[in-house]
Amino acid sequence: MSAPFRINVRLPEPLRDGGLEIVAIETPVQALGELLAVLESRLPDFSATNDELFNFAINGELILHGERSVVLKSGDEVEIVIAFAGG
Amino acid sequence: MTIHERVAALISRLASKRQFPTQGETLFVDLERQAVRSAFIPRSVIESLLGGRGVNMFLLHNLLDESLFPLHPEVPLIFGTGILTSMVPSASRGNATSWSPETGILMDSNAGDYFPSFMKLNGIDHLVLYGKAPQWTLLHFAGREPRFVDAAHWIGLDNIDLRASLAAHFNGVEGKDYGLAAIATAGENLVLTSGIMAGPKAIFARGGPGAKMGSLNLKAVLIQGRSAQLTTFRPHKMRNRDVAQKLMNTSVVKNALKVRGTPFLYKPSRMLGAMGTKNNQETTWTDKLDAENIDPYRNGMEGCFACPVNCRPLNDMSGDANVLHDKYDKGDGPEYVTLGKFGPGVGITEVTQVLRLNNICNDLGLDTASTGSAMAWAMELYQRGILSREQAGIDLTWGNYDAIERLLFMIARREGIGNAIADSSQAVAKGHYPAEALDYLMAVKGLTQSDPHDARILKAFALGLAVATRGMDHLRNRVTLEINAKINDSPDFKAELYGGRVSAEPNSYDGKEIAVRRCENIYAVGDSVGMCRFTTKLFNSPSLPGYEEFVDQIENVTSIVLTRDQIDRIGLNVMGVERLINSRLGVTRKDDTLPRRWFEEAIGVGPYKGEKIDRQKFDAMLTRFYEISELNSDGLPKPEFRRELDAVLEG
Repeated sequence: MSAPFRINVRLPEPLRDGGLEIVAIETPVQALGELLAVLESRLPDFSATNDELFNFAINGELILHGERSVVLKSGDEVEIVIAFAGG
Repeated sequence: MTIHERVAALISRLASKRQFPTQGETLFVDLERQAVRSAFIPRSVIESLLGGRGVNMFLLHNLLDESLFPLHPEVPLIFGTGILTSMVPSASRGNATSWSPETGILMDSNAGDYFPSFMKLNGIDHLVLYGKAPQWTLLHFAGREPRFVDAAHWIGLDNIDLRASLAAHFNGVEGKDYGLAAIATAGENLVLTSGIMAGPKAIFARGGPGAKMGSLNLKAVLIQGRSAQLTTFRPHKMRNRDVAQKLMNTSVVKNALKVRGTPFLYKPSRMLGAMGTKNNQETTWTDKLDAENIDPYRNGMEGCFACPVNCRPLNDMSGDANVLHDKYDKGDGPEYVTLGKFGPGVGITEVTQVLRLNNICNDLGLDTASTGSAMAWAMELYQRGILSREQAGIDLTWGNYDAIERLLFMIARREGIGNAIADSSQAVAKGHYPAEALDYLMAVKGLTQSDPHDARILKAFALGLAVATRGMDHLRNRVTLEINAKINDSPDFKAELYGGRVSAEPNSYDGKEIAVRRCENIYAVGDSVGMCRFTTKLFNSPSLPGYEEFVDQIENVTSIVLTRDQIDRIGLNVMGVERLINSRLGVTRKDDTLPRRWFEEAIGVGPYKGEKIDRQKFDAMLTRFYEISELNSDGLPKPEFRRELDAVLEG
């Protein structure tokens, strides 16, 4: 019997409701686009499609384009990364 | 012609009456003779360059004598407020402009806090300062008439003590009762990386404004009270509510800028393998400097005049038993730039050490970007043996915190190796380092890179740094949204945003010139209306205020009616004038380039390992950039564009 599907999503501070840093997603998904839909239902302050503040890193690798089609597998760690500029 | 003759000739072409109700005067202050003349900028110039940075360029173009040298007292230092400064939320900025002693080209630096707003609130739009004061002087305005105050009492004071002393002397509170622009000891000692402090941290930073002000024997300009009647052409407060609402509803403001400030970019840059480390020899660094690790020391947020965002984090380490407790255990900042320059840039890994270096730089009046970069350059030279232990007189090993802290004070006093670092990119020309040192200088047009992001991956960033008119600086044109996957993945939206197709791939050269052109225009307009860069559309978000709000409020405040295309053209005009000035100072196409390292050495880590700048593709991108910018093959305005600019500048 195979291990249950699980992807850990590390949240940035603005999305840490009640101090929760990691959300475990156990709904099987194949791509980041599918995961975003799951996250939208789990995180009330998170809008994957409209909020330009959030980028994603998969296993430490920042994604700069082709975001929704990035393939995911169980065990991957997804991090929501705040990205904007400073002076 | 002397500066007196130039000023007289220029005033004869300016207006003698206010061109719209909120217009302030342009004051020409001869510090040597303690004389003041005034005039108004003609409406035709305002309609072509607006105010702030744009009109500063008009003034510099007309007053610059390029046969002199940057620190010559007849080369003016010009302060300018934006046309909307103090009257629109988040528009609290102004510019300081001259001939840069650090780079030898145009100097133009933007700051907020309170000084630009107090200029506007006292009916001063531009302040042209020239001549060397016979003794150290503080220029005090209570209203628009200046007093030339003997500043001997304040010489030798750094920013913390100076601001406290002036608050007591002038019996007021900065920001509430007066605005202040002042130099600390680094400026007094003509350190080329020194800035003009516009607040505890706010600084006219880049290109050596502190040295320029010091060369005029001018310690401070203090503008007290609110004497001007800023009666707008039409009511503008309802539209201001829209602007404020737009600001506060934007995620980047609501979730990041307002609560933590700018250090967030450190993390994506290091994850990408694009965090300039050890003078860009490496491109990633510790997660110990991620923004969340600064949280325990952030004891509040501050903001500029009437800005609802309050993006400036304060720091307080007094509760940490492991740090030294003195006047540097608390302060203002850091911004992302300082975090990068005094973290990975010089090999520091501890947040508290970066905070302390930040607080010291703010006190000494040092630009953290130029100072950190010049220090990193010296440290690489030391690593390579180009600078010996004997020459350095101090152990410049990466991450040697004690040496780095000590070095800041040595730079401000121009002591020992600090004297070489104080000459920034000019250190070879001044004979401090051998010529081979230039191979490791991370600078364009003599200006070291402003932010720590290594642009070998993101080609739009690279092009922006190459063509920026003040040198290697991201605040002039950076297409920050290139790091945004959602925008990259929306080709139609991205094309609409920039006015043409721009490749989704960050490391592609295709169409990147279009994005840089659009950003350079809107940022130049932002600097000319007085809007903060962080809250101007495109720098951090496509949802922030931009042309739509600017044209409405310009009409409400001034009666000048502009279309969206016309205001975009003003951005192009500002760039065109800046290129004309730089051309007089010897800048040509060959200067629109990047440091050798980025062409020859590849990124060694991360998802874009192996990436560098391809010379041929870069050159083709530069040619395309010139073409859409109405520039000829040498980067100067083409004949028709030149005629338009000449009509504004000399008509």
